[in-house]
Amino acid sequence: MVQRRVDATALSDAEVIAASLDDPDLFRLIVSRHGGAVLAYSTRRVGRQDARDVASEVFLRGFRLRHRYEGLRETCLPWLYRIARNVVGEWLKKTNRSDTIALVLDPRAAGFEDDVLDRVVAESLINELRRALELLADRDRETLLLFAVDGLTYGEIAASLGIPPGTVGSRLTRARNDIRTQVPDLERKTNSLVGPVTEGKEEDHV
Amino acid sequence: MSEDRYPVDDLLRALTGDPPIESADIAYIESRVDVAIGEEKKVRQRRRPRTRVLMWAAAVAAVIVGTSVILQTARVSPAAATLEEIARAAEATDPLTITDADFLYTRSETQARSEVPKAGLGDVPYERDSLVYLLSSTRETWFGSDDTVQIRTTVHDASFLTDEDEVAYYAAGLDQQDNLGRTDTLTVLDPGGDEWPTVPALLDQTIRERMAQERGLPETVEYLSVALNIIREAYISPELRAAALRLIADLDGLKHEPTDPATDLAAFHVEYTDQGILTRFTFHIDRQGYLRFEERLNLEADTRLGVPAHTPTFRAEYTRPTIAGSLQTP
Repeated sequence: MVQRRVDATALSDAEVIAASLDDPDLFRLIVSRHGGAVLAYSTRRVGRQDARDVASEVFLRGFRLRHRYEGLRETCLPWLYRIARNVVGEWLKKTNRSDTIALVLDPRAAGFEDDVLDRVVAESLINELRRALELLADRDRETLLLFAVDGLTYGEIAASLGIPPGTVGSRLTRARNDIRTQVPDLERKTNSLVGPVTEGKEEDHV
Repeated sequence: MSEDRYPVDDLLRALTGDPPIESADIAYIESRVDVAIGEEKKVRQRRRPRTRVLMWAAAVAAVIVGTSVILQTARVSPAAATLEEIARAAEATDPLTITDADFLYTRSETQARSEVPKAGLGDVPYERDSLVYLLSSTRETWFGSDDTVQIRTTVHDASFLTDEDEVAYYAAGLDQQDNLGRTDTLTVLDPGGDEWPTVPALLDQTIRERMAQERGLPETVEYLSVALNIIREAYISPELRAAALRLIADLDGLKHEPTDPATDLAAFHVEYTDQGILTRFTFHIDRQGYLRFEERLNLEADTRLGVPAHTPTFRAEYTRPTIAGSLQTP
């Protein structure tokens, strides 16, 4: 038993989950590997106050449903995000919020609170952006958020949503175009806040 | 495939930020998962003897195929094995969801025994201490996405053990009291379901807390009574349905009946003594874990009430919940 636990740190998520069916204690390793990412996801979606309860529920469900895990071998994060999406959806219903989407957009997160002008522009932009996001199809919005906000790769998003990687790209294109249509001066406002951004800039993903 | 980022991506990222991860929050998550791990280990320890029996049975079956020994060992726990199989299927079933334009529709056909003491018959002459009859009714329910529930109940008819009972029933005006032949429709705000835990050990504990204590019935019967209340609900999560089924599988004295191929419903029963009368409680579950039928039957005559053996005291058939496009019977 001790030997197995020592070796488990070198195992992939899929192997840890499989081994945890015999030795449930091993599931702690999944929490230690992905607790931060799931907590960050939860905080961005539901806010800091409820995030740790949402994140806890994600891991509790993962623990209960681990015998059904058939995801990527390297990381189970897309699977955890899939569970998190359901938990957040239930949270949105349960808390009777008027919001139709769960997403915390905060000018302070981007450091805009120090500059009055930036803050005003950011708050106005946030309202427009939120409305535009609400108008997106659920599947397009979720794809965009997983990529833009949570930093998942196309492959991870595909695994999380159960769609081909090619579909991820088409959904992203549609979502961005729809947002541009809804917020015509998005790029001008964005540039005034975060500085010019080169279209198509390649960026590493976690 | 190029995974380029665009200004809107960076804006969204900037506005959601990188939330600080507090070690206290991680510790909180770990502590909750630790509880679940501990509960699972406890349940495993409780189940171990049965697991050993099943493993032994499987080993014997593998070696001595075709002997009568297999028939004996294969019957060690068919109820548990079948319920586990159903629990797995229930877990894999997509949860039912409705849109703003839909309703979740359920229907039950029920026959329930009523007992009216002689005093409740007024001036109507009657020999026995109590009048016993079966009342049949249909109950339809439409759950809306706005938390409203329309409940339509139709009381059909009453059936009697003797002609004298029938005469007394109508003479006493019980048909009016029972709303015989009437349909009532009521729309209410869904009070919300019970918050049942899905961690097996916690669910087990919650069920035990809600078991009736004063009826003098065996623990298995009282436990089943609460657990079936859970799976009778149309709108519970697949995880909760599966957890409840697994706990039912663990009950002592539960027998598995042959499956009727026409319905493909898994049938189970438990026999016990209720107020001195041998009683059988039977229930049928479909392959996705929905309760479809239940019946409580006197296996012996109830001389006090003049009820012959094999008379049901309660019988109900349930449809599978379906999505309905309107508040009309589908």
